[in-house]
Amino acid sequence: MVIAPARLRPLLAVLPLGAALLMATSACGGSDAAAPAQSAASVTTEAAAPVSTEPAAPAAAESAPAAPGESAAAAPADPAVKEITVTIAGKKVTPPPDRIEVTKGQTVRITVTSDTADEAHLHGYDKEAELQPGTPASIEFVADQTGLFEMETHGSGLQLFQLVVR
Amino acid sequence: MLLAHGVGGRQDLPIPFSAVLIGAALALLVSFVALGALWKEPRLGGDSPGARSLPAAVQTAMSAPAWRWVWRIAGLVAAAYFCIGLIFGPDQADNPTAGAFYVLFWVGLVPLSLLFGPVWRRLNPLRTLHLLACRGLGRDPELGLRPLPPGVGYWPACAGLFAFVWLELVAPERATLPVIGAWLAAYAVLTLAGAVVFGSRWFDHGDPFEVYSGLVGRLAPAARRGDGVVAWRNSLDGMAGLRPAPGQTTLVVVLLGSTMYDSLSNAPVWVRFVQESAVPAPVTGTAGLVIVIALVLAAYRTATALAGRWGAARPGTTAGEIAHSIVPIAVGYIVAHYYTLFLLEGQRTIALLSDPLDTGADWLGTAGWTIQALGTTPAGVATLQVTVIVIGHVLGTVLAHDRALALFPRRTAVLGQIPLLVLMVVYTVVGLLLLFAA
Repeated sequence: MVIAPARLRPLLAVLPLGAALLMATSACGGSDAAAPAQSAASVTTEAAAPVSTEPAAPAAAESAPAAPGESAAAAPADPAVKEITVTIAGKKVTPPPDRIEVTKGQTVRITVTSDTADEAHLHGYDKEAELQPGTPASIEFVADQTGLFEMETHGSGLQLFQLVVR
Repeated sequence: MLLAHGVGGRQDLPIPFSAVLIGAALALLVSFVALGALWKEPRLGGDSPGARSLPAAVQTAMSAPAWRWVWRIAGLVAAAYFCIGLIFGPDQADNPTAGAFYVLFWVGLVPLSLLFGPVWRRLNPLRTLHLLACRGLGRDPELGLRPLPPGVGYWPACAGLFAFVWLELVAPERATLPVIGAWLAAYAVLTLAGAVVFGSRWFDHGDPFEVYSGLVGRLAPAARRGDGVVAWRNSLDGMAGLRPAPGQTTLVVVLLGSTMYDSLSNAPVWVRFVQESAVPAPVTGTAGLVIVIALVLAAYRTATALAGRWGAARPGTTAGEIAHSIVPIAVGYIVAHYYTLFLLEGQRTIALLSDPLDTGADWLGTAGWTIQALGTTPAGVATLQVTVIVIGHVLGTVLAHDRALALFPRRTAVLGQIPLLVLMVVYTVVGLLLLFAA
């Protein structure tokens, strides 16, 4: 193999430098990404805390199903559980497909309500839920594998959301 | 690529934005270094006669007629084994066919070609079938019914490559057996018909997988020289040896553009757009694929036209002459995009391949494989992705620089390189942004 010409060396010298920089920052990036997720978790804990003491809490809990646009509402019982609620009506997904971030090890509960009979499937984790018209179906699992996973329906072929596990 | 049939269930995390910035900064830095400090005379593309040849034992083995037949038979056996699952296996997620076709074969062709050169030429079962048929009929396989017109170039491979990426990224039910089977049947019939009409040279120009493997294989560290000796070489010399041919620019652009569309089609904003539009998803997908490829092509045409004008090259030559420098950029992006898919889904496919009929058999002894992470940590994957994209950019920049010195007169060489470097920085940064956003 021909050794890199002398003129090429400054260029090649840049590479390990860049790789080292990257190593350093992607490690920081990882902790950056984790920080908001943790603070979000603590916020939900605070929000959930009054539930057990104040009598007004049931009203707040009842208002949650009335707003299907809320993709993430902390369950009063267990704030560590990530609740994801999706409604499908006339091939329209509410809330519209987006990325939902959870931290590795977190419990995720996905509730899907469809107006037609279908099957919802979370890729990668290979969790499935039979959907009956108008009846919410749930999947609960521990997100123990990092990556990006798509939640789809098999019959209508709709993407519901992308679960990002960091 | 996510094939809604159980293939590619897990996808990589988006890379951190800091990684995008560092990658982009490195790309810019590399480009400026290239402009100011690299060599002043073209030096790539030669046969490098001083290079060390491979050991004599390897030379002897590779020159033996049996060598060729070993690979031809290996290709036939692998294809026959693949067809068991395709034709007789049940059409469900446990069938290895989709994984074997899209992951092991298509994605796996890149590392194989990078290491060993144009491997599909040696393995291609259709080429072997054509050869055997010609031997049986006592005909020369090189001779068809008529000669291949020179203007054809790589246009047939270009059409074939587009047909494949459309199947891989857009076609409805693309991981099911009828769709894969129909596509492969059409491909086999058209390719063999082309070989009957134009002789075996058709495979070099019309078989998208041979042409793809040949393009990537130019970066391999060893190759057979013009004098027949298999020698080590500088990968850049191999890549610079790619001469302009009709359709080649578009071929390279389809390669880069389709991979970019693959990323884009995963972005939530694109998913929302497709799902909420009244137009059927395959139509939107086809339009998206064509538009992304057209944008990559338009950027390429604009930059090379400007470079040709500013650099005072012979009119109409720059686009074809620079096309080879896009290959490392595309390969870097492909490696970044499919690296974990190949490692993780490849393991799963090899396990499934042990039981192609889903009868509980274990023909290869791999049925019990559990998928190993093989060091694919999120931070490690992100680092690797940005690193290979930047390496692709460096190699592309060096190749373009070297060719520019040959194309442009000395006084305009620096000016002529500016549009080319801008183009490469744009491709690289868009690639990084796609890994971040999609």
